Amino acid sequence: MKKLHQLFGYERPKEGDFGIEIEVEGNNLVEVQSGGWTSVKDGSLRGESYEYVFSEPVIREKVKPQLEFLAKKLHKSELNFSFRTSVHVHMNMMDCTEDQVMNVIYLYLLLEEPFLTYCGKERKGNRFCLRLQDAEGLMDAVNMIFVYGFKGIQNINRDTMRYASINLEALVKYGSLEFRAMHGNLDVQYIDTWVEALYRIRKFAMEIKDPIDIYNLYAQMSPIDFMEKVLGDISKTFTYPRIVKDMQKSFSLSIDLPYIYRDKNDPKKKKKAIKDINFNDVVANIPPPVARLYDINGNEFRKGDIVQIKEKIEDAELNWEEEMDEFVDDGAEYVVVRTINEPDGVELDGLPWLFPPKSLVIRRRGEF
Amino acid sequence: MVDDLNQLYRDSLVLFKNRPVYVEGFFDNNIVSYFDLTDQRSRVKQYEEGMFLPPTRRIGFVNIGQSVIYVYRNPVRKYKVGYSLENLKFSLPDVRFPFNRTAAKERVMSLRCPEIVDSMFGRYPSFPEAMSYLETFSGACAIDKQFALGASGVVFYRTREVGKFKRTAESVKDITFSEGNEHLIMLLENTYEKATPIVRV
Repeated sequence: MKKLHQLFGYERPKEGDFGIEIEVEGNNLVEVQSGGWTSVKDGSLRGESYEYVFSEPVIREKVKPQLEFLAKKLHKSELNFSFRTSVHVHMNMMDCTEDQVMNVIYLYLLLEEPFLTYCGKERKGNRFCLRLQDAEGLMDAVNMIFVYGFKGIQNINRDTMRYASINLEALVKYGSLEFRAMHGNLDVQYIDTWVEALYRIRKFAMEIKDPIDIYNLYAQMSPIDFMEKVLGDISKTFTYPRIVKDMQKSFSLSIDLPYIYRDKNDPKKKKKAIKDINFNDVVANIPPPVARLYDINGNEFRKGDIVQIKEKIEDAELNWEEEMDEFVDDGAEYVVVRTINEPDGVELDGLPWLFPPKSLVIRRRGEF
Repeated sequence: MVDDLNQLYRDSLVLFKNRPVYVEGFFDNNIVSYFDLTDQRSRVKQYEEGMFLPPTRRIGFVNIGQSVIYVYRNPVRKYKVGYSLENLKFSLPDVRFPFNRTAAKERVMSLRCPEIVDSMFGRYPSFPEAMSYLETFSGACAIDKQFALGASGVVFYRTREVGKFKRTAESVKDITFSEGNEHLIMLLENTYEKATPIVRV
C-alpha cells in the first residue's frame, strides 16, 4: 500500500518524528538559533515575542533534550504565555499508509476530549484549536480522507480546516499532522508527556488494522479502558471526572467514520459514501469576505498577482522591521496567495508573514 | 482596544454568564452593547476582560417556523471568538418551510433568535411530541441536535436523509434506516449525549 511520502514524490520519508512550535510573549526574550531551534516572528503575537520552532523534525528521544535546551536558554527571560500563545506539535506521517493516517485521525478524535482537558481547559472552544464538537465542519475534510484516501487529502481547502485542534492541512503542506491543542508554556515534562501521548497514538495506529478494528475495540470496553489500551501507562494523566460522557460524545460525532471506511471498499456502497459527503444542500453558506486591499500605487490586489516588496512599514504591532530590511527592493517577486481582512494583510507564497498592503507594489503585465 | 474588541467579538454569538448573547459592538471607554438571545433584550455594559466566553455548546438542528435548519461551525482561520456568519454553515434539508423558507433562513442567520438557545442547550421535543407536531406541521421537526423528522416521513441526520418512518411510529425503534445508515439507531436509542456502541460494524 502506498505511503504518504510517495504522494509527495519522495523516495524515502523525511527523517524525524516531531516538530514543535512554541509561541512566547514576554520581556528580555532571546533569539535562539542553535540546539535545533530557530526563532521566528509571528504576526499573531503582541509586544516582544518569538515563535521558537524546531529547525527540523527530530526523533522522539531527542524531543525532551531539545525542550530542555530551550528552557535553559530562556531561563533569564520573563515569559508571558498569554491566550494568544500556544504549543503546536507536528507529527511526521510520511511513513504511514492511508489506513494508518485514518487510524491516527480516528484515534485522536475519540480521545480529543481528554487531550484537550490535559492541554488546558481554557482551550475548549478556543478559536485557534477548535474541537470536533466546536466545529463539526472538520468532518467534511475527515470524511473526504476516509472516502478518497490520499486523493482526499489533496482536496482539503486551505484555511478552512487550519484552526481545528487537529490540523489536517499540514498533511498536504508538510506530510505531518499538526496538533494545536496545548496552551502556551515551556514546562518540559508537561510538553513531553503530550508528545508521548501522540507518539503512542501513532504507534497504536501502525499496529491496528483499520478504523473498523478501532471501532470494534472501543465497543468491547469502557472509554477509560480504551484510552488505557491506546496510551498505556500514561493514560492516568489524561483522566478526569467527566471523561466517560465526553468520550461518548466524541464517539457519537465521529460514528460515521468506520462505516464510511467499510463502505468505500464496496463499489456499490462507495457511491453512497461519496453522495453522503457531497454537501450540495448547503445553500446558505456564507463565503468568507475577501479583503479589498491596494498596493502602494493604488492597484487592487488579486490572487495570483506578482508583487515586489517595496517599502518597509513602521508598525509597532509588527516586530519584524529587521526582517523586512532583507526583502525591501531585493528584486525578488512573489505570488499573492490571498488578501486577509483581519488584520489587514497580503499573504505571499513562500513567506511566513502577512504583509501590509502599502509595503508592496504589484508588477502587472507590461511593467516588467 | 475598542478596535481589537470589535474584531474579536462584534457580530458574533458568544456566552455571557452561560447565556448566549449576540455582541452588537464596542464603543468608547469599552462600553459594549449586546443582545441576550434568551430574553430577547439588548443591554449596554462596561466591558470587563474575560466577560465573553467562546460558545462551547454546538448548535445543530434549529427548529424554526415549523421546519428545521442545520447549523454547524467550520474551523476556518478567522479571528471571531464566537459563532459568526464567517465561520458557520447553514444547511437546509429538502423539506417544506410552511412560513417562508427565506424568512426562516434569515431569522436563524441573524444569530439572535431564541430558537438557537434551545438548540445550544439541547431542548428538543421527544419523538412522540415531534410526531404529534407533525400532524399539523407540513415541514419538519428536530428531535435532537443531529436528527430531524420530515413531515413526509423521512429522517434526517445532520445534512443527509438516512431513513423513513410511518405515521403510526411510536418511538425511534420504528424508524427504518436506509442501507449503510443502520448504525445511527444507537445514537437515538442512547440519546446523542450518552451514545455508546451497541452494535458491531
